[in-house]
Amino acid sequence: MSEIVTMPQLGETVTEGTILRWLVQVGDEVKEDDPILEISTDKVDTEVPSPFSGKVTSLMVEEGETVEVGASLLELDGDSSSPAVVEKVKEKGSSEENNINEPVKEIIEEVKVENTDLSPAVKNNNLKLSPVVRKIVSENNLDLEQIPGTGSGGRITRKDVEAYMASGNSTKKQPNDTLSQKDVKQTESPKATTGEISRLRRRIAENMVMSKQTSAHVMTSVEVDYENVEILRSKHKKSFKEENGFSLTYLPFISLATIYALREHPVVNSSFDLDKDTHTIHSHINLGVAVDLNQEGLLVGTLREADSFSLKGLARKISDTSVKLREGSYELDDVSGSTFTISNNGSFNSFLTSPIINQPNVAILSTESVKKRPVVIEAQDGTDSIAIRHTGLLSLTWDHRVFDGSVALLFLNSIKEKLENSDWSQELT
Amino acid sequence: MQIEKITRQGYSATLSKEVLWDIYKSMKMQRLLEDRLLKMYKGGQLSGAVYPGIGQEACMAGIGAGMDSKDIFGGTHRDLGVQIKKGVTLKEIALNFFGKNDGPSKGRDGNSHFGVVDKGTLMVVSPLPDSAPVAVGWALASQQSGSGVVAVANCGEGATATGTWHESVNMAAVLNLPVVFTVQNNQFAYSSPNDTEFGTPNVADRAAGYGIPAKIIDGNDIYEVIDAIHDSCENARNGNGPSLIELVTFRHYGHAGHDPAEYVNDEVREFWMKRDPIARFEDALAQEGLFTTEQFVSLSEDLEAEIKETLDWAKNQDDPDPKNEELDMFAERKTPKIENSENNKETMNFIEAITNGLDELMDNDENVFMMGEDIGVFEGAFKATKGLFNKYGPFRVIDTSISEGGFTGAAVGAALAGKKPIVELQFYDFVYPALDQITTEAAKYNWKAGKPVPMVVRGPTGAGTRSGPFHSISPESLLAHHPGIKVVAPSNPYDAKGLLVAAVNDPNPVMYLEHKKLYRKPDLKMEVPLGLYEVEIGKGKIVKEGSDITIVTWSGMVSVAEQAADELSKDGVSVEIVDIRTIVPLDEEIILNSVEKTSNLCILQEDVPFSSIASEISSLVAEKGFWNLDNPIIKVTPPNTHIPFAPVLEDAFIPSVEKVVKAIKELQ
Repeated sequence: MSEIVTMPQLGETVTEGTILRWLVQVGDEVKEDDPILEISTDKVDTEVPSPFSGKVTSLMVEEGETVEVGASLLELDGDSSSPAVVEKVKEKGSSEENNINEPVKEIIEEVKVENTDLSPAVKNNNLKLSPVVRKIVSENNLDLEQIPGTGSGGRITRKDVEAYMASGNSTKKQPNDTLSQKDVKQTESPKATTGEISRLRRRIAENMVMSKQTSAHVMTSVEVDYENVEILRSKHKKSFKEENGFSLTYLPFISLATIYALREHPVVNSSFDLDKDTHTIHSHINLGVAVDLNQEGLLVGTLREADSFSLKGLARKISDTSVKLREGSYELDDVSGSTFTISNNGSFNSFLTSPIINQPNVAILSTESVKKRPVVIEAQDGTDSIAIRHTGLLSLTWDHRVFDGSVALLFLNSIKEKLENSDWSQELT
Repeated sequence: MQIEKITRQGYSATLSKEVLWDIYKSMKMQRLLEDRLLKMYKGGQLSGAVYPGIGQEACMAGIGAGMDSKDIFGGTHRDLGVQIKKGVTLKEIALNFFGKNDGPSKGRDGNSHFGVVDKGTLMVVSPLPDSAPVAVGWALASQQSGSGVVAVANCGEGATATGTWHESVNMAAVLNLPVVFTVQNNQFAYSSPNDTEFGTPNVADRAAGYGIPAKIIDGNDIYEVIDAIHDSCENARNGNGPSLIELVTFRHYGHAGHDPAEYVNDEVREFWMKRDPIARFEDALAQEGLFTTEQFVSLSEDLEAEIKETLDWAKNQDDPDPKNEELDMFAERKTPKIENSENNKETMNFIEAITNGLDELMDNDENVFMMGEDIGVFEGAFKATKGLFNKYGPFRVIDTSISEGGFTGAAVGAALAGKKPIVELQFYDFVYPALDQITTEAAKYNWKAGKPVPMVVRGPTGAGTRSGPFHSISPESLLAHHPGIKVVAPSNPYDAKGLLVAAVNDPNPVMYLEHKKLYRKPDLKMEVPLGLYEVEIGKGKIVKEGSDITIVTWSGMVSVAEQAADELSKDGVSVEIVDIRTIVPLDEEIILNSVEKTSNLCILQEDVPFSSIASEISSLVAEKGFWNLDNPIIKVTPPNTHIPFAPVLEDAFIPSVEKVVKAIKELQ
């Protein structure tokens, strides 16, 4: 059992001492209380008695050296003649060990807990944002959902926001010849891969190109004030969800307005075959609704004889169809025979889209995102005021071979007029 | 009514007719003025309070007349008569009573609570007799410079029961200072008679306990008062030390305007009314054939008119502007910052840098002197004054009695008299008895009396030396809470000397905190320039730059922060350390700028947490740096307890590197 003799504190003001002279050498046997060295402090020059008995195994400081109170001076190989002292020192040693290790252990444990929490928490949208994150996000108009959080519980930290902004800027703004090492590293990280094209992707690719080669695409759009729809929707949102198990979106309203408008403008609900020299105006409205297969492809589901559905019926049919298509449990009838198609780009927060016509249709409607925007409202007495309204664009890509701009706009404005002015409250009660 | 007669015998017998008329006039002025003020107070025309000294006019005029014009007077709220005799004008008094902007205290204190130092009257404060140690300090400065000024420290018999009075008399006696202690025994301390205040038959009996001479005199005999005061002042002026004069007198009214003094019985009142000081003086003047009753009546009419006119005038003077409320908290420094080339350097530890600074400051300016316990021959408990007693002698390195309140108050007086005193507290734990003088006198002088108090109170602070609960405090928040004092706390030898030089040259009271663990910390030794230089008070320093988190700290905790930063850097956490160096005034900018950079804040202090500097900095950043924060602010402090002795307890008490590292890691 080895013992260490340390620099004593001789008086409350003393913090260091100088070793004047060693009174023992390595190999000497010393007894408890034998003088072992002389030290000099600010207050006193004195001999230090050995606190233990044993054989000197090491002198740890030189004569003349000045060391802090508590510094190790000498090592003794202790004998068993003073067991009480040894035991006491052992206890002290082990308790110190605990003191040092304890906080470290705690930290490791806590970090572990945080790590297991991390992944589910990242997806939690209700995470608290710190003041500085709120400030940077708002100053730079950033989308929080795009920023991965690495802080405690997946919280987004200032560093996360800055890293996100740095990565965005580097791809947008950095010219090739000034790419920094950091930027190069980032572009290297995803590995290049080559694979086969899926059957679905191939069909989509062929159809898209075929459509572009077939029709004369023109895109036209109008702005719609959805406040009328919004009032109704927010009023029934909760009860509708409870009753039907899915949310009441804008899409059923737009679909219903489109069906009414198609009735007024049947040429938009037609097929056109220049080679065969035929132009077919359809009697029924089979409404195609583009369904995104979770970013792995696109299918157009068909709501056959959609003009026979009520608003609720349309809502349910749209919901059922998209579920069917996404689950892959559809039949040929569910994805063929549409006479007009709606592509709901608003659900992915679009501002304006120019969709490709779903052949052999002659037009396709894209619904764009609905947002609160300031709108100038003119009162009956002619005074203007600014109001906050839910508005969004509706854009139509149409085939200029079949009809002209006037028809397209009359059709679009008919949808707009219905969305803004129809009273659909009966449909939802 | 039979009036007891008085006659001129000693010094008063040498006074001319004009001088006697002047003394009589000041007594009459005091009585008529206080009578008028009392009526206005009772009639609801005066805010605050009136403390009439009616009945004690001979004490006050006699004290004023017995003193030399250059002598200084430290008194109480019931000493208007002395102020009048010392030359304070009716206008000044009236403006102060109405709290007007141009009054001696600029409306910051009312009624008779003011002094006009330039006319020889010290600031009057309510805690009594707090001006006594200040007067003692002025006498100390007089002794050092040989100016021949005597200080008269006056109070009522009630205030002689305080430790402050005892410390003052004792210090003056031990140091043989030119002070005359006067006690106007007007029979009541507010409502309490003598036998509830002291155990000796007379106040004067106490002088024996201090080894100084004392007299009991008839305080209503103007001639006896003048003679006694004159003789004692001349004695003191000639180097024969302090003395005590008990002036037995009677207060005609209660303690203040609101007090009908029903505790005084009719017999006592009648006894004293026969000895009314003004009636006796008039009688004696008429007996000597110097003045006639018609002259007394005519003077009264003139004075009444003057008083009415002056009070009407004062009432309509400008009130203080609330927008100037924060002015005068500190005196502006007028001397340039001391700089040198700093080329000539020597390696010093913390305490050597302080000793070197003290030595150079005293060498450079003979107005700099030191006071404290055991600092002379013994060279201080920590040896901070090593070599200084031998070099500068007992008049500039003064060993004091154990009287923290006494010698800290004396520093205020010496500073007012033009000195630059440095007080050493043996341990800063002993600041408590000195706090009254620091906050009542030192902190308020510039604000309330327009006189800067350049003084330094330095001493060891902090735990870690196994010294237990009474030798270990970190007093920064205790001190900083009081407006009007500066607080500095250096963390290394260079700053220690530079801040000491800046503190001594600052025109304000500066509390200079020396963490005793730093004194001889071997790894803190550094090169310190020889010759005077300053580290600016109120400026912090970034001791380590970093980007992830700011640690704001000072004094003994700076090295803990540095070690924690090293630990954290191993985990890729980049710590910025701000050593604020000065607690008051706080360098807000350096803190806010650093938090703007790192967005995270840890405040590390050795002082206990509740209502502390850490709380203040946390509040600052929450108020002014909120939008830069990325995490809650953390404070690493001891628990809210006293400082324990047992090594395991003390080690657990002081914030450790491990605690700092853990707290910061939990944030990330």
